[in-house]
Amino acid sequence: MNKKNLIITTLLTFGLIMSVHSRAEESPLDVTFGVNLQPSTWKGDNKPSGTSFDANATQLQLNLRIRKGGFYTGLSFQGASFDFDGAAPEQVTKIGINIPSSNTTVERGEFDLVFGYYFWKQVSFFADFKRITNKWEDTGYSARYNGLGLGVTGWHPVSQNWVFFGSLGFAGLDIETGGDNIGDGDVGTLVLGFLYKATNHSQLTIGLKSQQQTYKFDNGSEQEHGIVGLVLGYSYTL
Amino acid sequence: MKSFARSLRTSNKTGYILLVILLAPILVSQNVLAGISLRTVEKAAPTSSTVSNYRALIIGNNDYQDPDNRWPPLKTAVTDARAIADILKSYYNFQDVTVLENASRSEILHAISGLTRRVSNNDSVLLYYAGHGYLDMDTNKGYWVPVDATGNDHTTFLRNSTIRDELNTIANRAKHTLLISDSCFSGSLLRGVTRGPVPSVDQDRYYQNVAAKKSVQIITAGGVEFVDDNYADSGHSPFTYFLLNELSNNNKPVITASELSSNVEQAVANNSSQNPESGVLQGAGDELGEFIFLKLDIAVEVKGIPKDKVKVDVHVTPSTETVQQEAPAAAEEPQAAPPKKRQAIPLPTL
Repeated sequence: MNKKNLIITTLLTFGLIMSVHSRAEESPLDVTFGVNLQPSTWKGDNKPSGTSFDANATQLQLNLRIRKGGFYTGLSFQGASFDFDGAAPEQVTKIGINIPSSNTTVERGEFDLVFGYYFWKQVSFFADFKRITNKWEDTGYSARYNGLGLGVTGWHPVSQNWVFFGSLGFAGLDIETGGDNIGDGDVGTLVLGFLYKATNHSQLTIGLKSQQQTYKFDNGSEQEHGIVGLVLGYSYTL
Repeated sequence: MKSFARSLRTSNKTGYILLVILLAPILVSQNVLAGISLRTVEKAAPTSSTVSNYRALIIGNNDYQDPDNRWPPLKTAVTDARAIADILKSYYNFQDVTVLENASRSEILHAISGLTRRVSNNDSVLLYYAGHGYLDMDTNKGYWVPVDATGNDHTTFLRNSTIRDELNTIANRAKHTLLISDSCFSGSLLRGVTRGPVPSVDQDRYYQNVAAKKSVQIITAGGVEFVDDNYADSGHSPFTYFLLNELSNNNKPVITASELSSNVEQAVANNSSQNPESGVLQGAGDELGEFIFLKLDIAVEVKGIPKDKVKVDVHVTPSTETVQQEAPAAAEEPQAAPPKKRQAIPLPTL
């Protein structure tokens, strides 16, 4: 994804948001805390070497969402340690060397800062400032993947207590290690699930999340990653 | 200060002058009375084609008797109906209010028929229904479900087309007709005929214009979807809770059905998973007029004039006469914050 276009699109989106008459003037503020467990499988390929990797872990996600009228913003932290039995994602150093890795643990963390607006009652667009951090236990090598993305999310009630929801989005990423940029990539994410309104303040969610990433390093190597998992969540709205 | 047209008709000159002196500053201060005429009346005001009355038929069905248990009892429909009737009578000067609780199919039809016979040319007529609704997914036909409905036997339901026919008959006689339906799948009544956004009400002539034109409007608690019965243990459905909230906390003497529905739609959507809808009854002669709710307490009680001595007519006179005197604005009552109950769709992330 072209990052310049992404930034321009984001700025235009927020300009449009600011130009729309705000429902927020008359709407109460609501604050929601959420916790998710995501049993996930991380699979992928190291393109030049042709090795494939595969690991399972249950990711823990904590999030906070603040909504006023059609506007919402939120923070999300999630992470887990993935134990690779056999090949693992290769470590690409800042001098352009690919270090094969195997039988190791990668500590993966994701941080998201989200801003969104419901342009329609059930559909919103959002921007996500995203940071992924991977740290390899065997060498201590770590890489950061920073980017900005746009997405769309929506929901539809299916009964008095059940709501179907989904989101789809893409982000462009810069890949850094040791403070130097070593490549770029992109991430596309699809989430589909159902929310159950347990009480007036509590919600339970169950869904599926698929995150596909492609990394292109400056040394010419590439990696493809796919993290697919079940999402089991609980949230409480104040 | 905005200017507003009004004409005052009185049974005698003294009354006319007195009423002008007493009410003019208040009406001007309220900022929105264009096209509304006030006059004094005797307690037993004669009904004629030139007099407008506010009439309502309010239906609330809780106690379903379905032997098949297809239609379980509801908790809030009767309470909703009583509250709506009370607020219309107490705040909005509805003189003819009929409340039907736990009504059968024939009772509903008879009540509508009786209401139709009472309607005269300039009347404003409101129908409110709270109870089960049903949508036949195969035929895409919607129904109200009376308390004597039996299982899936559609012949014991009240079909949308029947409701629309009855509403059409009322609309042929009344100036303004408004149907409010708080039931599942009530959006199927609309047949996709909706209005555009509510226009700005800052213009002087807005109320004058919309009051002068015929209206046949529908507000529904949801689209083609299920709706909740009890909102935050308030004893009301979410839709009726916010409808009551808007009507009771409205600080303007005049609010149109479109303004009302817009506010209610927003509040309900912000606080529940249902999406109220509004529109017009297709083919019933709607001229983009507006059903107008007149909150008399604001205009009348401030000056201590007995309600039964003041009659508010919503048929509009072409006069653009302006009262120049200014009066201090009436103190606004604080808005009651709705109880918190939010539906929190998960935070989307990439």
